[in-house]
Amino acid sequence: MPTQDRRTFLKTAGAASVLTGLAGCSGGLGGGGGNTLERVGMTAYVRGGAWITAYIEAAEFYAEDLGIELDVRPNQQSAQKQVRDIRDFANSGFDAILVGVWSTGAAESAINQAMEQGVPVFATNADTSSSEIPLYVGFSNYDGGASCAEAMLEALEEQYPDRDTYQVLNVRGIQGNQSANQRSQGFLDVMAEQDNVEVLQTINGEYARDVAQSTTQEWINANTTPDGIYSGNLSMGLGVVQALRNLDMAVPKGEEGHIVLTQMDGSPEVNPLVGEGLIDAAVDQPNYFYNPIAMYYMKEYVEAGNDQSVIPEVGSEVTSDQLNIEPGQHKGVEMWSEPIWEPGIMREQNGHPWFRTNSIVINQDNYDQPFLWGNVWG
Amino acid sequence: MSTRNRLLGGLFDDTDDVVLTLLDNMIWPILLIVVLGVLVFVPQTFRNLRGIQLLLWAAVPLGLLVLAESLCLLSGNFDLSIGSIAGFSAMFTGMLLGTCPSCWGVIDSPLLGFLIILAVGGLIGLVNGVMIAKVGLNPFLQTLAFLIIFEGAKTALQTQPVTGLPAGYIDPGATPNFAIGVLLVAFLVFGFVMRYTTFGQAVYAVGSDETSAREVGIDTERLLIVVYTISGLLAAIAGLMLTGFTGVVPPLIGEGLVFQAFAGAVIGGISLFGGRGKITGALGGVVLIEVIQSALDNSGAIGATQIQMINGIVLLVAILLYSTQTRLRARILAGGAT
Repeated sequence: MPTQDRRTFLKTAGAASVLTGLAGCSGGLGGGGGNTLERVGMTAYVRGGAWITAYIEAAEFYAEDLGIELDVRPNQQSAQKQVRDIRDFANSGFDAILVGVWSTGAAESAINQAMEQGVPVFATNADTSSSEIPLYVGFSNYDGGASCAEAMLEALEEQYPDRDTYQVLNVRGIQGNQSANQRSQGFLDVMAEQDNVEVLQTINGEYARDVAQSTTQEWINANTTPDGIYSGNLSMGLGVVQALRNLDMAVPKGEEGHIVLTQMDGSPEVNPLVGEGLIDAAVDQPNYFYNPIAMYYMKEYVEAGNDQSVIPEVGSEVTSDQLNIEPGQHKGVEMWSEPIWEPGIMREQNGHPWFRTNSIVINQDNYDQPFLWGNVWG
Repeated sequence: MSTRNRLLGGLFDDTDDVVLTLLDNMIWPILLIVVLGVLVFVPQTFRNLRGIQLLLWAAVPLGLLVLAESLCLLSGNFDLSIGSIAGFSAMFTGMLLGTCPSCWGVIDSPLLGFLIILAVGGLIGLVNGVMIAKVGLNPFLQTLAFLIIFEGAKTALQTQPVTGLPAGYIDPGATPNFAIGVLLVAFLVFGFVMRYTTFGQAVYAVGSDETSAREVGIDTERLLIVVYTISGLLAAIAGLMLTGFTGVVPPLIGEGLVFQAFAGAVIGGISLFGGRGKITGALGGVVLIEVIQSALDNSGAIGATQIQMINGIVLLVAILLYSTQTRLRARILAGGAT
């Protein structure tokens, strides 16, 4: 090959490689192309217990059933890490992103940027402040706290029908944490409406089992024995049970001296305690439905060319007639066969639609049912 | 004249000694004042002996971590990984012993469990020591790396609570008097070792001036390896006590405790710069933290949202007191030298 020809060939090849590279880069901006949902990136909190495991694994199972490639990345308890992952997903050809935000406002700009790039972001479990997202799926922490209060009132009247007044204790989660605040407030607001109930104190359990245990046992020993104790999450609820055991106060319902216990969330450990009557009621979230519901609408949204009209209108009610999460065999059960999420109420939150799922009250009648996540993820 | 001067000089020497002793043991009068304050304002905290028992029981894991941190601080170093070591060693051993569906459940002997948890903690501490003393890594970077690695390794092992542990394995941490006894014995043993043995004096010497310690014949590298290994062992015992306290191994076990461990040591009078402070003082620091925490929790006048802020203020006051103590001490010693 003459020198001139070789030079021309090298120039052409070089230019072609640069163009190919640029094309690759630009191709990477925005979604994977086409109106199909093939690759979904997910960023969420992945640590902390069985609840989160069920939440994440259900997403993986449903994605598998739909033939979607799901890439789950841990947020490592860092809003910055989550922002980086969202940007990475948006720039790496993913068709959509699922996010359980670590800090409500922190990921807003990254989410908005992804939306602008044509990569829809759906939030589950923990909402974002971005008004741009098509949908958030989750239950209401405030309503959950209120349901726990209602369950406690019912159990108190059943346990001590002759008493005129009741004294209860509120064990709350981490200070400044939005869900902890809402769960506590929901409980306190319902109790404030009752003339015959006094909330003795709100104490810190910090969403941790050992903290709730030590704080509760010291408080009871130092002050008085309450008639009921509400815990804002499952770890704290289990800490409270252990505290009562340490104080020789763990008595099943119906027996003299029983302290009524209600709490947020069931679990593999909580559900049997409900069965034994140590815990009166646990308000459980349909956590293994959150991501499947989001992916169901995500698929419709992407296939319709990022069309918001596929999302149910705010103010409407969604039942299993309109939304069918196809059951699948996972972990030895027919998962999603019981639509415990229904009815879903469409609300608006942070300027975007919120699919507010229902919650389910675990009691002695249903504590062993296979539709409770705690009986599947043991 | 000379007799009068000797008498006056002796009197002043004695006064200086008393002041120095008071300054070196400042945690105890502070603790006394706080306890009196609690008795006045939140008397229900000490309503009965059970209350004191519960308070001290809750202090056991943190107390052991404070002890581990104090040893490292006295040697002029520190260990950011103690909480992670406690958590990982507890999780690893729990996985071996537990009967939960996702546990390994390969052993059922509590005794073997004790040996394994100690071996895991001691080994991690040993590696910390070797990397710092022999390889020459900065203790901050080395222990920070291990904090991240073993916190992550714990998550990689298990994200759910480990249950079904043998009763014999849980018992030490679940039995309040025994757990408190372990804490007190640990502080007594190390208090004695640090004060009356050549090892203890060598730790103070290295913490005060590593170069001088080396020049007087102390094998500083070996000493640091031993200190970090002991730190790892104590962290593992803290993990065992945490496991017993809750009856399971929670997935977030041991997290966030390292800063409280630093606080306990500093409040107890252990110098952040090494070579000064008493192990018994660190015990006072732990008790002080727990008394304040318990009183704040039990007080109806202070809201749950204010507790962390008040804890921070207490820490700041303690730091200010010790800063004043250091200046006073230096002034007295300088006066004695003239």
